[in-house]
Amino acid sequence: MARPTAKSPHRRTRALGLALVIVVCLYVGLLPILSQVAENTRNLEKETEQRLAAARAKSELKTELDTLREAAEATPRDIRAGLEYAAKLQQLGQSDRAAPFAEAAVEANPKDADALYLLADIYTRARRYEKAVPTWKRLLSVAPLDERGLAGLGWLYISFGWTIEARDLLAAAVKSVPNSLSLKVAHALACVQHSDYKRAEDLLLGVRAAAPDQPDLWMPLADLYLRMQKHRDAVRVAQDVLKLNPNDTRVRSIAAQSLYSLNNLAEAEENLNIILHADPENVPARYRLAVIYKRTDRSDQSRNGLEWVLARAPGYEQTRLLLGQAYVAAGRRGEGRKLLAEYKDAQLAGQKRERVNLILSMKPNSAEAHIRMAEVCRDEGNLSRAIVELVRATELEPKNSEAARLLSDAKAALVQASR
Amino acid sequence: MKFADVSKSAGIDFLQQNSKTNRRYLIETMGSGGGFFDYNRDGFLDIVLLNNTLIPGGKVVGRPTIALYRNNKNGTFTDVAKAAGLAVDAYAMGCSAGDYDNDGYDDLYVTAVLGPSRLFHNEGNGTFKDVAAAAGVTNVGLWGTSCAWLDYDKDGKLDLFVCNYVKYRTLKDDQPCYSGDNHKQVYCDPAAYESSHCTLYRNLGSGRFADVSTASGIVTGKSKGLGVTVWDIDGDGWLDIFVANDTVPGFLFKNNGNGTFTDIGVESGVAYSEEGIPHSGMGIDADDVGNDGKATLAITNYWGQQTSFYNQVSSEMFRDNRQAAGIGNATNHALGFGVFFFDHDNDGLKDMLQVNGHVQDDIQEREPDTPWRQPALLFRNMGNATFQEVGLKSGAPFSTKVVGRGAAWGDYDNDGKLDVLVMPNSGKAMLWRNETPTPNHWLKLKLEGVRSNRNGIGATVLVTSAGITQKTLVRCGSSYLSQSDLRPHFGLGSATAADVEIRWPSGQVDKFKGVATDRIHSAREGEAALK
Repeated sequence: MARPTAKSPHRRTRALGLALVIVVCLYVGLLPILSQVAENTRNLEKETEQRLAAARAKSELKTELDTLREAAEATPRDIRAGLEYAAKLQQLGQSDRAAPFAEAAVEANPKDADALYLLADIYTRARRYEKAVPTWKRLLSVAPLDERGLAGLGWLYISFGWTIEARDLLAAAVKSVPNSLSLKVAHALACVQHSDYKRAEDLLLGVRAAAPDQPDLWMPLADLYLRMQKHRDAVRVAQDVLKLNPNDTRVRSIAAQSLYSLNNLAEAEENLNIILHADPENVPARYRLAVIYKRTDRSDQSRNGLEWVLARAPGYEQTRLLLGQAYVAAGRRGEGRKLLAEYKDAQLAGQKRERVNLILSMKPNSAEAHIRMAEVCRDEGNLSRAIVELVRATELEPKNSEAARLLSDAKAALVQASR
Repeated sequence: MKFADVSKSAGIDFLQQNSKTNRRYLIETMGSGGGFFDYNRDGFLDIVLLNNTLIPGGKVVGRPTIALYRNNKNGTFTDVAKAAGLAVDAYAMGCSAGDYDNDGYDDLYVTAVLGPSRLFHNEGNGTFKDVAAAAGVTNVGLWGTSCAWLDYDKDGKLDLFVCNYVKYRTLKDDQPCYSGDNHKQVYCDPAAYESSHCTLYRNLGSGRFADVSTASGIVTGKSKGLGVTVWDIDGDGWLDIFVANDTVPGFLFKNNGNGTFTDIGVESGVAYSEEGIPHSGMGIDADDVGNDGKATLAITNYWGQQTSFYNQVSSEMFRDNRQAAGIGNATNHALGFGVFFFDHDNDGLKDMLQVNGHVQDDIQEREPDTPWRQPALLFRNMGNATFQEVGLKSGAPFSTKVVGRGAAWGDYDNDGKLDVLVMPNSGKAMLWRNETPTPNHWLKLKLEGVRSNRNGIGATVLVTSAGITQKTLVRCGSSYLSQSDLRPHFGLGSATAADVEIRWPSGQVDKFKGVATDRIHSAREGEAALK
């Protein structure tokens, strides 16, 4: 067997090896570009698919809506057809368009619980509280154990800060409809308003045990622990929710807040970045990230983040404080002081509301308390809510001339505003 | 590090009573203060303890009045309040001792709710006389809380700053609050009450004061003041005032040097927490904790809100470093009231003590993990801008759960180790003797102003040893409703001598080289030597 010349085969191998290395290097060098192109292509395909799907859905929805509208208009006496159409509109967030159909259905059959529920829900979502409250009450007079009605009115009371009404209604509701998990959740939140955290926790733990695979129901447990400053528990519950619902930004936000409070800034930041990756416009997440940047001495990033929040959400008042301080520290005293003064004013206005709210919750049967709350709501431009408060004041004291006068004024102003 | 509760052996037998009612008036949650001051000029600190008088529907044992414990100079005390004329009925809150008429005897101002505040003039013969009305400092109609003597206009006479809480003239102003399924009445949140404003009384001399609150510019913001401390943030010689407000933004009144103040709390960063939330500010103190000449400010907060811990970053800017300092998480589960900085182990680093206790006596019914009685916390300064909570290693008092409110430090036995007075709400006052075994040295100064006010309040004292300069400011106020030792105290570690510099409010600067340690020196303004 002839021995190979000393170098030739090796040289070939080396040459091949070298070529391969060059190709690999070139490929590796090109890899980011190629991946970017591939990524762009995939994104383009994905966007196209999404647009087509949206267009198909829109078209299908329009067809469905048209069909429902035609059915409703063709058979005006058919309450169900009108209701179906109204429900679809409501589902699409078109409360104003939905309302006339639901109103017609209720007028045609004042004791139809479904119609009353839909109408009450429409009014509530449209923030027409002066109509929502009596409609929920009508539903409950027709169907006292209607779970939707009990929860709906309960939630409304909670949102008003009518803590005693909410608690009484929901405590009774939970007894009457013991298997309703949504009522238990609402009752738990009413308990939170009363600072009765133990009761709230018991209720929510019960809901969790009954429906472990429905984290939407027991997610408020994380919020409760955050409120109770039990941050480790809040993080634990939030993580449990996220295992089932990884895209739940609300609960991830709670996790981030608790991690921040535990001084685990790295994980808090990681969670906020996940939220912002999914929803770049998420204002609270942007704000909290800016706070973390501030605490970790990333002043420029913090300032940029706060400026972003202020531009997108001028009502997010805390931004004014941090940004104002950042400007003052950076020598931009004029700009800083202006923001700080605005923040202080907003805080003082908020304190007035908080005080009135607290007094109302303490004195639910005081016409005076409801009148003061009505004034606050009116001054904030919430005439609908002001009317609710004044109606309550006149119920409590039918001869209260101040309440009557303010109610008349508020109603007139609401009519004027709707024009 | 070791503290021992010596109340019983020292003869301190004082029951703080809040006149608890079933109606649950807000005032019942606040407690009352007390403090150390040497009323009879014998060189030993005496103790004053405030109490809450009976209110309609309330329950008390005996007649709760102010107590004055005279130091017997042998580790024991005798209550001489009756003979001294201090055993009065008042729903007393806070106190501050200072010699407002420069007669050499410390007077006592006591704030109150539901009635006038009192100015007890020290008659110099072991008795006091209430001269508040004649002096014009009754603070009538206001709910006075913490207070501080200070010479804000540097005229050599002590003026008086009073924190007022919420609008609450009579029990009819109390708001009822409810909680739980059974609609149980609970103590109400301060947010339900209208804000008040602080009061500044200018000492006109001849025993008279003028209310200059508005003219001085301290009524610019709404106040729910519970704590006050004084510091000169920019070293201009004019005293600035920090106020801890409960649920509304805190104040930093910067002294303009012309009789007026400007509130720079918001822009300096101390008005709100880092997250933009007003403090539930109760107690407060400021001192040079880092031995860098800059102020550190502590403000105790509500359960879960953590104690705020601000480091001064420039003359008018502060930054909340509570987490980096190791204070944040350690105070998360405490509802803090009294707080102060003091060097309890004489290592030359000021430590921090905080007493705690919830405001709702039945809180555990609704929040099982939140106790009403809570242990005090002792934070040891580690010298690297961090603190370590060492309470449980520091003796039985720190394992005792109390409803802590007032707290003060003072060296009642003049052994060079700082002792602690704790005033619980509805409980026995406690005197914790510092029995820390340590070879560390110390020095203490008893100031006597000549051109400046007699107490030397507002003097900046610098002590240098082993290349490190410690600084403090002689001040009243601080903590919550309480009065600490007016004698500046410095732990010196292994140093056996130190240089001392006193910058008096008058502008006089006295310097002393190689001052001996382990003793109390008297410093008279302008004199060449310490005594």
